[in-house]
Amino acid sequence: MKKLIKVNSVRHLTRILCALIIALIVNYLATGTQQGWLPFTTVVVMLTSTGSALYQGLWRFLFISIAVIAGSLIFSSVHFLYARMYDVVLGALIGILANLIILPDRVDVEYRLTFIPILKSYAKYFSALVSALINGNLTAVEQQKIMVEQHMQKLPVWIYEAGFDLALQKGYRYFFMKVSQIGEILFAIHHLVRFHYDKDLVDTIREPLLQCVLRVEQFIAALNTVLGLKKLSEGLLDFDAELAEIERRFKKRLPSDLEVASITTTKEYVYLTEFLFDLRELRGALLRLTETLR
Amino acid sequence: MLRIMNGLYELLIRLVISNCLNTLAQLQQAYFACYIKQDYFFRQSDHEKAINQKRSKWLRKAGLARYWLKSNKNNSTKWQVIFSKVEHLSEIIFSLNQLRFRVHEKALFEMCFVEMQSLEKSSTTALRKIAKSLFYNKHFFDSEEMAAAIHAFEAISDRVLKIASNEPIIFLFFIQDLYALNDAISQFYEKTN
Repeated sequence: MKKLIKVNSVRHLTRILCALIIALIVNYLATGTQQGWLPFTTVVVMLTSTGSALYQGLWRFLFISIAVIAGSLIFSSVHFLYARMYDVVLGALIGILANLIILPDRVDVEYRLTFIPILKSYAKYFSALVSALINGNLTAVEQQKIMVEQHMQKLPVWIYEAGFDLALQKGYRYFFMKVSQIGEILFAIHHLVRFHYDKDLVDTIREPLLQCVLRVEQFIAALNTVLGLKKLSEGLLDFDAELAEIERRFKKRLPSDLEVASITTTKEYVYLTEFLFDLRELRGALLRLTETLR
Repeated sequence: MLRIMNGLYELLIRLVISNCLNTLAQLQQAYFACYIKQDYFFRQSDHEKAINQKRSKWLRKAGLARYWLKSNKNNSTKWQVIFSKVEHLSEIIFSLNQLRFRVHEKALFEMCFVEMQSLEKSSTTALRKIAKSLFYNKHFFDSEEMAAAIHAFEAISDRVLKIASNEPIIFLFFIQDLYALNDAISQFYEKTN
């Protein structure tokens, strides 16, 4: 039960049910029309996205009011308009207040917890991508890609909704953008991994590359610890040194006469250079994420 | 009866894959708005919101396509190969559009505004054409149109962008990915027609 009440959708549903019960009681005791406008307005003003309860509730109230005024003036008398508006105002008041007071949205918790599975799937995907680059076997990568795609669909898009807390908006959107960027970098790496590279060339960078995978996993585990509001047991280890080592080894293997080399060889080196560039950007995005969480 | 069922299944798969390709075209358009629209650096959040919407749409469509491909294992081998090509196309588009995170000077995009417009037009048209070619054999796709746009971009990149940019290599990656996209689109067209 305790766990269930922490889930945002359950909290929202509970809120709506409580408000609906209150609205039905008020409707029975103090309604103007008995036409059901009061409970209807209560429910409609509560159908808001996470973090935008007041703003979106007020907009919905405004739309219902306009519809009621227009409908009443066209189809019935002014007396009914007053009675209906009385119900609508009362219903909106119950709905908006209930949305703000009874089990309110835990925006921060909801936001942080959404990213944990996404980041975990990134770590696994990256590890599978590096393995595929080394062995040339793409089967495991496809599975991990599907997992990442499924998790990416659960990104908290409600931070882009109108009326989302202005104080939180900028930071939350930045973090969101960086997490999406990491996903895109991994998809870009997937494209580069599909190319067949010379085994000797890949073997040259194999060892520091595997070190990189470990570092990325540690990085993401640390990020998840912070997102889960737990204490970090050890400091973060950057993987700049590993990247520098990969670049050093790669440069050693670069043919001096690359422009006259065959197209395939040139393509191979350009793709691997792009791969290394993507790794640098992955590191950059991960560092930005940690900076945001400080 | 079995033949009718298989025919309907194939039609459904064609429709689903065609939807995926059209969504990719929309995603590509949203990405290129970052290079073409003057306000990208001032309204980055709005552009990222639009990209996120299109990307989510693509992810949903891809998930749906996978679901239908899995549902009939006897008939889907050929279509699974074709869908893997669509997935590769999406990866190239993601790789291509890392450019928006790599370029930090608005002036660079202004210098290649016309070429970017032409790239956007030719690439989205190509994606829409191959989507239509799944239904109409008459819908002829010509890779030369996109190749011409890439050559034009390559020319301005050599003349101006690589000199003006702090990191000229990013344009080399962009061009390489553009060629990869054109090749992948051509291969897809050949495979399905």
